[in-house]
Amino acid sequence: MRKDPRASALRRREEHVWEQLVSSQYERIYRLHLRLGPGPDTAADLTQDTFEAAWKAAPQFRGESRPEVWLYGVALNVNRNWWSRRRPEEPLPEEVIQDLPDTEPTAAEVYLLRQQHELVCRAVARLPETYRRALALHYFLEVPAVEIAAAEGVEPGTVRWRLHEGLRRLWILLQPALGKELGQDAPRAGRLRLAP
Amino acid sequence: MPPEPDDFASPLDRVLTTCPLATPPPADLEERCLATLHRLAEEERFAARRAPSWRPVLAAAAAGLVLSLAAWAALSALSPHAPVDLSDPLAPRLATVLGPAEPVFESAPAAPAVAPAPAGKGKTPAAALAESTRPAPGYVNPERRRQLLYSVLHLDVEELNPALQQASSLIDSAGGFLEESDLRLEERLARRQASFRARVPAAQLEALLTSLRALGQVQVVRNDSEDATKDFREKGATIREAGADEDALVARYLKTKNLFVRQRLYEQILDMRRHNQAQKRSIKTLDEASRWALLEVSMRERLTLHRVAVGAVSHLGPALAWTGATAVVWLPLMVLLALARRRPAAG
Repeated sequence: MRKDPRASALRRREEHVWEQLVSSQYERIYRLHLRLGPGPDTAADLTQDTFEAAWKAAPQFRGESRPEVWLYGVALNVNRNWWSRRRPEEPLPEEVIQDLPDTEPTAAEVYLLRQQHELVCRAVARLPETYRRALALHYFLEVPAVEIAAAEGVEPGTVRWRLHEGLRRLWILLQPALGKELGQDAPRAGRLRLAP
Repeated sequence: MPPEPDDFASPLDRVLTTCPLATPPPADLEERCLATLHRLAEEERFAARRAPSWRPVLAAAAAGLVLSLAAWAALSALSPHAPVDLSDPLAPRLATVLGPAEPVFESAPAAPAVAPAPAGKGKTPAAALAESTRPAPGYVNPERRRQLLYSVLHLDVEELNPALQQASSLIDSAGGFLEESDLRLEERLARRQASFRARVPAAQLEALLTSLRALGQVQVVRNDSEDATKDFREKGATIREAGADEDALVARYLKTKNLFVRQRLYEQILDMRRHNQAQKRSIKTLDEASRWALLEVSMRERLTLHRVAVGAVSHLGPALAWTGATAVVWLPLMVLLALARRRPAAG
């Protein structure tokens, strides 16, 4: 992949290039942090922290991806660190994920989920790191899978698989909560164990 | 940029892509982020001003090191203490004349046994190699070569006695012995020097020289070698011929009845025996010399300020004594001279 011409300027910490990057990306970074859990005030602080961390890590930026994508990766790291200080990681039990049938939401469920943004974002924030990064970069920040692959140093196929698996796990997390929202009776026993 | 539509056919795609949060960012967020950026840039500039860059310092140190090494290398090449090549410069020429020579300082390892080629199956590589390296006519077995080794080593040492003791023990441990030694004191500079001559097994000479060089600063090292194989062979042939001649004379002596002839033959046989014994002693000496390398070592105490001072003080005593002893002559002379100069002034 051809290297971005801004990469060397960012590495040298040329202020006008950084100012352009901040002005063009601060809003997206803020929305990313907001979607991934913390409240508005914390999201604003984390946005500042993201730019600080990126400035400090600038010499390590190799320019193999767009600076924006690299910045999103830094933002996700900052977000993860914030969460790790707040609460211990609660990964999904692997056996439950393997046992559950590969179901998909119905049209009614999708409609309901589109009204429940916060519920969806909370579920995304609960996903394991690998899937959370892939989903956040692809859906929240609209980065193509090929660019994610370049930024993460993996094959595009790996990123696509992570996205697919991330969506499956997300639905596993959302399904029980959605059952309550729809006013249904208690779902199957296996799903109860996964309630957020 | 919308996500790639062919990635996944999941209804959650639509949920996630249309998941905007209506909350707008704080109005001053951009300013806050830019302020963070400017603060970091200012901190970096301040740190750069406070902490000097190490790159020029390291570059200067590296350049200094390179220059020092170059100067050291140049001085070493010019210095008389430069390491001396211990290899024998005459060896290639001798090898051309006399055939392959034995290594000067160590014996060559024994050649591995060559397995015979299996009958009817052609030659093995080892057998072919053995055949190709078969000695030419007139070839002298390297184990029979006679090399006369002679080495000279001059050292400057800190203290003479410990160095001499160490040298003596090194020669003993190498299986050698001291032939002759000499200890002298250089009066003028109050430093002592000693020299000795030792005989060491030829195979141990190189290792011994290496050990001895560590005792002090090497001033001179010289290694000479002479291939005496030809001399040795000629002497041996002469002795064998003389032995055959002697046997023939003895046979003639036993057959002869004439007393006069017997008497003459008897004298000839005695002369020949004396001559043969001298030749045998000579070849025995040559054999001894080829097995025992000659090593001459000279050691001198290093010239230090202390030794120069001690030398000067030691010369001061005799000078004063000489002055006192001759005072009988020069003191009256000086008194007379002083009186002679004063008298005209008084007149």
